[in-house]
Amino acid sequence: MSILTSKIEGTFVVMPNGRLDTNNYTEASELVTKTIKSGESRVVFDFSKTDYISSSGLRVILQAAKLVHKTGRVVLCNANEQIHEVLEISGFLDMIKYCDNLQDAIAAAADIPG
Amino acid sequence: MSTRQQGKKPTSSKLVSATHTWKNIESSDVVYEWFNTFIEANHVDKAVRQKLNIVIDDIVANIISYAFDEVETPEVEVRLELKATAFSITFIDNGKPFNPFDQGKPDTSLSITERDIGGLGIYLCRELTDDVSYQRTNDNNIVKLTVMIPGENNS
Repeated sequence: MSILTSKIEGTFVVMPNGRLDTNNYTEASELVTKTIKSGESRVVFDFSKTDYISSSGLRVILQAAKLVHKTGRVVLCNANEQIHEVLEISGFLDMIKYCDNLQDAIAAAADIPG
Repeated sequence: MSTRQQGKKPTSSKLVSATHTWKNIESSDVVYEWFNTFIEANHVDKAVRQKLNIVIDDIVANIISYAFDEVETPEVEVRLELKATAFSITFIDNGKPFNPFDQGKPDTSLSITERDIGGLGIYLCRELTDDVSYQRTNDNNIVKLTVMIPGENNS
């Protein structure tokens, strides 16, 4: 299983297991898109079990953020140093909320602006 | 995070290298497996390894998507060169001429609704590595990326 998911306090939590790259991009993308279309609007990407993400991983995150931007929120958390660097270089940290731990991320996902 | 792993480190003069060629490659996964075998045998710094994992995924995906439209037998050769101070990876493909580093920089300051999905792969590779080069030689595209290895005294 390369993507673990759970629902915690009304928030859909996506946990890429190992890596998020072209190898599991389609699986991740379909899973996240289907879940959001079924009505989930609070989505947390928890990278505590993720070694690295490539641009395919960024694509999955941006897809999710675009899909929920009117009704909910995507929040990122628990990135290792390299993943954090990738999120920073790509400008994702400027447009998507980041938290240091899952608990804060779930709270932030529920705190929908406007 | 920068705790050094125990184990052998290549001495400054020593070069450890490996080369492999894939025909009709369909995914970066085969390169990933081969690369990680090399990494495990050679005690490479974790941050360096993670950066090169991203490079492999994005460069190979790029080659598969753009290079081989009219090529009868697509071939990708990957060379690894590990020294004490730097790790270089070279991708050689027999596809049509394509310099990935010719692409413009994506606008990373746009909002969620304005941002395009995609277009970040080559940009990431450039930003995560210390040196990149492209050459077209003997009908091959040669793309080389180098990551400097953090040393005990200069990290």
